[in-house]
Amino acid sequence: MTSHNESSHTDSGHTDSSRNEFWERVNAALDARRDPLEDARVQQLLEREPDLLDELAALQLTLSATRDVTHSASLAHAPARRRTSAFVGWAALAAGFAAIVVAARWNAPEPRDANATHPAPLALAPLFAPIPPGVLLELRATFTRTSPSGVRIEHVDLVESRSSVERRELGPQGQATLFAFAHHQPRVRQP
Amino acid sequence: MIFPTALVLLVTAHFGPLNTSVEHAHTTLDVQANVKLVIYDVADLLTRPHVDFEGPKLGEQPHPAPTSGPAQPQPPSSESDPSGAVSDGGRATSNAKLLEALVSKYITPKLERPAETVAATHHGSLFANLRPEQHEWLRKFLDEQRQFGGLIEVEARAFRVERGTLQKLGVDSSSMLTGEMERGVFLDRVAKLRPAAEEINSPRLIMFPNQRAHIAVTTQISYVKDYSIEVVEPGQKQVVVPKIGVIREGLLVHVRPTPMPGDVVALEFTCETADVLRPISTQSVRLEAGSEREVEIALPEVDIAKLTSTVLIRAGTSVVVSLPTGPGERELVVLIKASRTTSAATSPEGK
Repeated sequence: MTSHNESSHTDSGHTDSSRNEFWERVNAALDARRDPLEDARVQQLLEREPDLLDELAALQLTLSATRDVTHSASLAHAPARRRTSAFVGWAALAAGFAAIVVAARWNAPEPRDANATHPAPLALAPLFAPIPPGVLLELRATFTRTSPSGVRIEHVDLVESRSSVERRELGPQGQATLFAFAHHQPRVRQP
Repeated sequence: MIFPTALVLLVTAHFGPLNTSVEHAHTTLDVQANVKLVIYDVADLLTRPHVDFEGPKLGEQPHPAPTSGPAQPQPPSSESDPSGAVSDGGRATSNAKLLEALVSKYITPKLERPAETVAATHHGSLFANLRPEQHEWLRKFLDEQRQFGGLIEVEARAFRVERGTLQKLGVDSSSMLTGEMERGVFLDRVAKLRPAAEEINSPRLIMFPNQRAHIAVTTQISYVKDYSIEVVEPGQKQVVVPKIGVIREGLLVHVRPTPMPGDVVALEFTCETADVLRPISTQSVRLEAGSEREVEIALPEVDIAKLTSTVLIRAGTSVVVSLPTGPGERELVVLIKASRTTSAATSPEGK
């Protein structure tokens, strides 16, 4: 029992030191404008602690979003030095936010019930970027409900931002009794 | 006072349309000056064997019901000889149509003016009336089609999740996962979902470029849609014969990958689901007018949701799309990944 406790204590300490080392190396790589995943030690630590991958992905996506914001700001003819300092500021802010999120996850109690809903990190905002408009050439959805009394077809074009609804009602002998078509633009259901 | 006003109106009316017509003529000349006809020799691309695998049709099946065996490849052209093999002429015609469609769809900058046209003939010529930058893209596209000697691997994973779960996964209605790391994070989150996500299928397709293939996970249900009265011998007996309807429900994913310049794959895909609303309602109807005999028929309602998309993705990139589907609060989430592979790297089992 004693050895088990010592062992778990040692594992916990080992995990903490690994995490600390991991984030130190990631921060160092980001400071040096290098990809943290190119660091061999980071790769080793990721193999040991796969959960870190999730957190690193969240941090990288936050940073990339910040870079986009900074890039947009640079279009407003800001001086180069100001752009760089803005980028560093945003990156530091994002890193701080990510650190708070990670710390909150560590301190959060484990769910009591195994069937309880597992809260995903950063669940308030989409983690993965939407498909960029330049690469999304086409995205259409069609919803059809067929019944003995007729057909209702709804077309939604998510790229062109328009939709339409078509209704065909049939009589008792299968003869067409109604045809209706409505066109909507725009529509709330957007990508 | 009236005379000068009328003169001004007359002058305005005269010079207005005149100026417009001059500008229009200039624009037309500019367009015609920019657009240049080039005839490309694409005979080598039209002789390649190409078979599209069309999937089954979901929903109500035509009568009589088809067998539930595996789908057969559909020759893309009706110009096949009696033995069933596609003739060279038929193959060239269908490949020319496909090439023309692909160029028209993917050309960058897009075809915007009536003067900009693309037409392929089965003799192996591609007539392209295009602007210089469009010609440049077309040359690169045709070179890519010639040089690409490998296969394209498409991996699709379909999940059914509770509606509203996408936000928990960190995904809006559609997302792009740019690498294995993001893909791993996404799949990890799907695995941790409570209530658990239902994984419908996760097949891999290894396809020739521009080939259309499908993944189908379907079931068929039969129901009595009507009755008829047949008179049979001996004795001129009247028997009641049920008419059986068949509905195919399930999931169908169609994919057509096209290699593009710059290690990019254009992925055209369709996800379609069909669900029969349960319980199926029934109705008692009289067999014939004046008869007291009543029989029961089923009145099934079928929900079909279909999502069609085309994305340009770098090899190894995954795309997540979703659509509400079926009765109840369920949503279909499809994760599709395309990557290039060489013929040598493909094991026979994987195909």
